[in-house]
Amino acid sequence: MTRRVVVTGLGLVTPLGNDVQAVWERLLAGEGGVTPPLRHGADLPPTRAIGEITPEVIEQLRSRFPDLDGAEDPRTLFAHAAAHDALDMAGLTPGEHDRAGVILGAGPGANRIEDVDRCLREDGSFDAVAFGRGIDQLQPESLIRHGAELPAARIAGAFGIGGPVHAVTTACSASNQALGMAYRSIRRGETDWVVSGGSDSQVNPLGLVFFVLLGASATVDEDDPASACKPFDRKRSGLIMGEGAGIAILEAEEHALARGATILAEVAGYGASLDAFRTTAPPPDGRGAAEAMQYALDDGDVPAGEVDFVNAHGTGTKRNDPAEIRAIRTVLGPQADEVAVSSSKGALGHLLSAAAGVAFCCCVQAVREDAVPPTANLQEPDRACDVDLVLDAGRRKVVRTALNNSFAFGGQNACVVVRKYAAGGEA
Amino acid sequence: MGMRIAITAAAVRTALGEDANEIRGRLDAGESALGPIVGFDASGFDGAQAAQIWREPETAEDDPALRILGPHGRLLDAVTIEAHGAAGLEALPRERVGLFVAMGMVDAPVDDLATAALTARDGGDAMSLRSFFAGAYRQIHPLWPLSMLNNVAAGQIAIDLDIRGDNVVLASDAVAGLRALLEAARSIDEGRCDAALAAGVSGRVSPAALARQALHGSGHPGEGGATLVFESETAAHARGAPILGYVLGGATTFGGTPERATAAARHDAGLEAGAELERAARGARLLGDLGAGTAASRLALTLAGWSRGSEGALPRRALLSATGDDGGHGALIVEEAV
Repeated sequence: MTRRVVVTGLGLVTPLGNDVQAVWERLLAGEGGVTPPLRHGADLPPTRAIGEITPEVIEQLRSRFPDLDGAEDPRTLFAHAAAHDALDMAGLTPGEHDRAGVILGAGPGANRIEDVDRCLREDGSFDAVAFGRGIDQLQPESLIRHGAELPAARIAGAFGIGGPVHAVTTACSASNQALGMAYRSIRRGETDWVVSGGSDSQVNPLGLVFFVLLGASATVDEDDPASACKPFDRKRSGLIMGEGAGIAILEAEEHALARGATILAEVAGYGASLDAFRTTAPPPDGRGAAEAMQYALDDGDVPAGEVDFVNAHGTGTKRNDPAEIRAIRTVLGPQADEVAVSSSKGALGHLLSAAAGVAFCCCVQAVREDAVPPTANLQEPDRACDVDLVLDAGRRKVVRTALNNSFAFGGQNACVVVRKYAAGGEA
Repeated sequence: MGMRIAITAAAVRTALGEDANEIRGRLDAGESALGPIVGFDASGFDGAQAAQIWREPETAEDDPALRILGPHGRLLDAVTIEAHGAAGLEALPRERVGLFVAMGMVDAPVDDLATAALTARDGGDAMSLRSFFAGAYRQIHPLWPLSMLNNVAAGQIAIDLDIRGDNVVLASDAVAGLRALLEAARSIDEGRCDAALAAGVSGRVSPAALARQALHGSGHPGEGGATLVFESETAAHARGAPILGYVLGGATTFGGTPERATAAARHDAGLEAGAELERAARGARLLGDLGAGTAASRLALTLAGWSRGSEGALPRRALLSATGDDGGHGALIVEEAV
């Protein structure tokens, strides 16, 4: 059985807001959601700019789901909120959905250094006995309390979803890999619809030094923290952490049509590859990224000439951006000059395991509205990034097909093809 | 599933040994790997037992592999390299070899964090976030962040074997482990790979793992993992690879009873509801709860059990079941190669 897979719902929790249409319009307008740190003090963390969900929004979300077991974990909370909105848009309600699934990209959870500090002996060594006797004192956000499966499991429990429920943990490509798994599950007939995408939050003491320790964090102008992440720019210096969730409802076309759902777009292909190069850097020629993109196009029999928009991984690091542009040129050939390319990480930060989920929602909006958002903070494109980068403000253009790129530390690459939906096509 | 997926190699490590036949024999003799916990003082945890492989405290020093992968990542790397070699996959195009992995939760190496927390105390009784952010965090090794990403081990395997195909990493319980096998089988069935490495590994027995067990009520933790090689039967025959068994079908479900997953797996495998199935890898509970490594290990041990005791002409079929921490279930149906 091979079925067409369509998108019938979207949900977002982002630093630019939680309403899909409003976030999309703000992205098109070139607005950014990166601010000084909020939850841990503006002048404390060594990274002085974050794409952070405000404490007020987090409290609103907790009030919205007062019975959510695991709401202390922002990752679970964000996923739950975005999934509810996506299911609501899709017109799906709680029930007995044995032929539905939840497949989400999820961050590993928050390690809390406070839990280590609580169990230090005077000589600085770790006291495992004290740790064992104080389990009830573990920090509410601790990953010991909240496994990677939790966001997906809570959504499944709330909506009576009884099919495959899984967490994909391939870091920055996790959401795209989750969307790919969901797409394949529906296409082969295992499920009729799947809640997919991803959620992540590392806004905690250890998470906030994550990219600093790796030397990947952007240099921040304290007078203008929102400008810190500059994908594809000559002056780019690294990435900025973000948090949030991007969730979509993928559904078999026949199922969506039978229940009269509004179809937003089609998922036309998926591809994944491994760099087999280095843990912390892509090959300069972008070969792994190119392979994932090519596999995705081949999977859907989509010719390069039908691609109008590449929603790039575009982290703003020295090595990623030119390697990705090389990959785009390799795959699209001369068509690369006709394709609009942008990255949302300048505006939102890098949402890690949620990044591709949010970017997927942008791709769906792009093919629905024939528009491409700009890359925030991109002013002087690097000469090595010689494609049609969208600067300054959103661009109106026909978008028949969009590619959603994501590439992870560790070398897992994934690409999802989003196409304008046309009734009567063939899978 | 539409085709029988051939299993052409398996490699496994558990607390009862590093060879599937040896482990199978010790399980058949009723030997248990469970025992008192060593490596750290577990007396703060009620009734803690475990089946450990890694019995010494981790000394990461400056070895990047130790820093990044941790013991379970290195075990995964080792069994996958062994399985890849045993199957003789070196001649296959690297883009056509896939890697499908399930991994247990990563627990932070504590020593780095302890030093940073102590430095951030400024002589007081508890760490100060201001001091931590002001510079104490630099006591944490620069590679520590990578050790928290459980996809990095899969990336290292790809580097070590120079494989570049389809892939996924799932976390972190027994159902994730079974699903990784199923995703690998699908990649063969749907023509995306010529060979798929299907792997699963437990987390490490650590204070955090015992705390997780106490909170979530899972069984005594064990350490171990396995990797299997899946190919199409046609491809395996064409290159003369010995076939150890077949994957016929499988399913993962959420909520309800395990029987629903079993019924879905039977349907996927094209088996009638009444078709007889053995329970796979009897006695494997004596290896402890291997979490994400359960399904791969049990499949490897099922194949070894058939190899040790099979005399009949008819192929035997076994049901490999999994139950997760949050309400998930999984079932995989495998068949003996005769």
